[in-house]
Amino acid sequence: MAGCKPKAVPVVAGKKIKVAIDPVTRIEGHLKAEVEVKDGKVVDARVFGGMYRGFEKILIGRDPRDASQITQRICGVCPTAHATASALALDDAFNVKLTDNGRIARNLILGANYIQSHILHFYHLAALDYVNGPDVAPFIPRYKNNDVRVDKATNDVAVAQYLEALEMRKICHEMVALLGGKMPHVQGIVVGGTTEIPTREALDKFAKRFKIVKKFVMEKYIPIVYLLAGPYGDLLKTGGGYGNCVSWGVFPMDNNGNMLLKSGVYTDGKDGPVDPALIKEYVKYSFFDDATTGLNPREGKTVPDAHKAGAYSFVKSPRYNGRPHEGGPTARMWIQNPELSKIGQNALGVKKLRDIGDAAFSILGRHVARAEETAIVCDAVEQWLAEAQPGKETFVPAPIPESAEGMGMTEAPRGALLHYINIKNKVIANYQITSATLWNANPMDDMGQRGPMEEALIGVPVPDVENPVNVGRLIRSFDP
Amino acid sequence: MASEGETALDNLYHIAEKYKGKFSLAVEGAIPMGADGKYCIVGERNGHEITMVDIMKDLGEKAGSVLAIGTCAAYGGIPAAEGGETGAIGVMEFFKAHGIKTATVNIPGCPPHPDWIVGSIAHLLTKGVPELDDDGRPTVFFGENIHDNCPRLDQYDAGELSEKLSDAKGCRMDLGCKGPETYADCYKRKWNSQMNWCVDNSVCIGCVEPGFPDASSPFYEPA
Repeated sequence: MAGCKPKAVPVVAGKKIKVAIDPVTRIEGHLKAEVEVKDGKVVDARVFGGMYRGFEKILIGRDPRDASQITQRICGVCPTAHATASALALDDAFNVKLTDNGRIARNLILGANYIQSHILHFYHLAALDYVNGPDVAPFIPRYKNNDVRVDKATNDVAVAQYLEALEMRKICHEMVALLGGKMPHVQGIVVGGTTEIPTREALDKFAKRFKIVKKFVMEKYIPIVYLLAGPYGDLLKTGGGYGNCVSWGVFPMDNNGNMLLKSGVYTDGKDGPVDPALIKEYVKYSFFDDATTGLNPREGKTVPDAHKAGAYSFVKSPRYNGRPHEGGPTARMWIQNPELSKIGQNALGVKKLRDIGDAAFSILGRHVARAEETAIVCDAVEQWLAEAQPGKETFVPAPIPESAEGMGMTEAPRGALLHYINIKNKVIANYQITSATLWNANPMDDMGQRGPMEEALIGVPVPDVENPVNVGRLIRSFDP
Repeated sequence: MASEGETALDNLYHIAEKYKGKFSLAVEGAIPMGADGKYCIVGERNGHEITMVDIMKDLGEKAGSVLAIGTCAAYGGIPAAEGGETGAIGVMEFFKAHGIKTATVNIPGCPPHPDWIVGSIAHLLTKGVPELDDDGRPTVFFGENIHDNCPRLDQYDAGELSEKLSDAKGCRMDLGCKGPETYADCYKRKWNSQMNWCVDNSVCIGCVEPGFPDASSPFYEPA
């Protein structure tokens, strides 16, 4: 049945058929997709964000330091990224400079969570679009014709790795907890650095665990992603969308703004630097007051209107310089353009990420970028472990300013993340969050441009409307 | 879960009907009552939107017991905090308002410890509903005060108080620790395979308490 409306409609050449998937599962949150299929391909698409909690409003009037705790609760998968963005905004507002050890400890916490998040996404959210689990819940029910093309041996290997990946995620969480207190929702990331000065013992425990996870990433995760490129090679050619992308940069390597993964914007084939003033959020098709459309986060307002006529999503539509851009590993890897892993170079026959061209922006390309990024973060974690100094201060105390504003821009595993804080009378006067899923899963904007995920759905093959497998594959490739 | 769309929701409703009165319903997240429930759309069936309010009425009544997992499901949590506009409430309050009598076990925490979840499920399966405190929490996990049992209590008694967040030693009282108002066994269970816990790392923010976050905000001292 597959959630398709109408059911069992024969495909007629030239006729449009509407297909709805609600809920889209194996994602973080609530999402519905509605596509129009004509001659076996998507010709129109809408993505609906069906949840509003009101974090930005709840923060108003509170102690600014509470923001790093409260905003983590936006997402159980990437709380460390929200803690990081919030702490960066507060560092900016409190005018505090981190110690080297504080910066490195933050990188180790976020880095361990990056590796966990990418393993989670590939194995536990996306993989069931490509391989079949055993015939028991939660692996059934599933689409009757789910287009799984791997042979039994490959399928068995993937299922074994699916289970092993659970253990790897647990180990990554232990790494986060060693420096961050616990996971999900770390206590350790605060304005001024981190709360727990690493001991030799803690760093050794971290390193011992990291070694196990890195082995899994290099010997299992990355190879199996490229293994899928065989039977699913056509998915490297579909689901591109605009091909525009943003990255705010992440993992500071020093105190001079150098990042492991650099910031940048790529629009209509041209690279450029990031100017936060060019970010605006539109709400014509979102359930928010029309009077608040087109605002930069610094002036951002959050005024929900759940019954607004014509609106179809609780997600706002952020635009950079008026244009839709996608965020995430593909965006970061495209902007960084690193050398691929040896496995990647052999599988794709190219040296650097941009050498694969448009394939980077595709259903499978997004998984390739995510896997390659995991290897890069693993190498960096190794470096930070060597640089971290046991017993050296990680925290710089600073008083709450009477009034100030701060911008925190970083990258969550799933994409560009911005926190903006405005402090008046020592409490939060305004707080705005532009998260990765806002960039990717947004509805049409005031100018009539579809969101990046909606645009990427156009042209995606749906040969069988009863089993619209590629719609889910495309959506999940963004890690919404 | 492999399935999506109507297949997934149909399966949920089908299981609820088939095992009516026998299954345990695990609920995550608060129930937003405002705007006719439109602040949380769970999915759609037969072309109609199913809100969190709808599904809680439909499945809550059929369940043999409910596990309200996390502080939002138990007490409303952050969406129910001051400044929130969605009318979010927890499961017990929702059931009371709708005359639903299904036994409910609260497993608060932001997040709840996995042992608290698995332990409560095991208790439900083998012995039925566990003994609960006045806030609907299993006393086996939430019966002890964190400060009174804190491994740093000796330091408190000796007047050793941490002065800044990165101090390795000392009671966290002066930094805003909510251990004295918080009941949970984190002090001995610890987190993530006993790697660490909030008080050793920083402070307790009282995330298992019904008033979280307003009752424990601001989380840090001194102002």
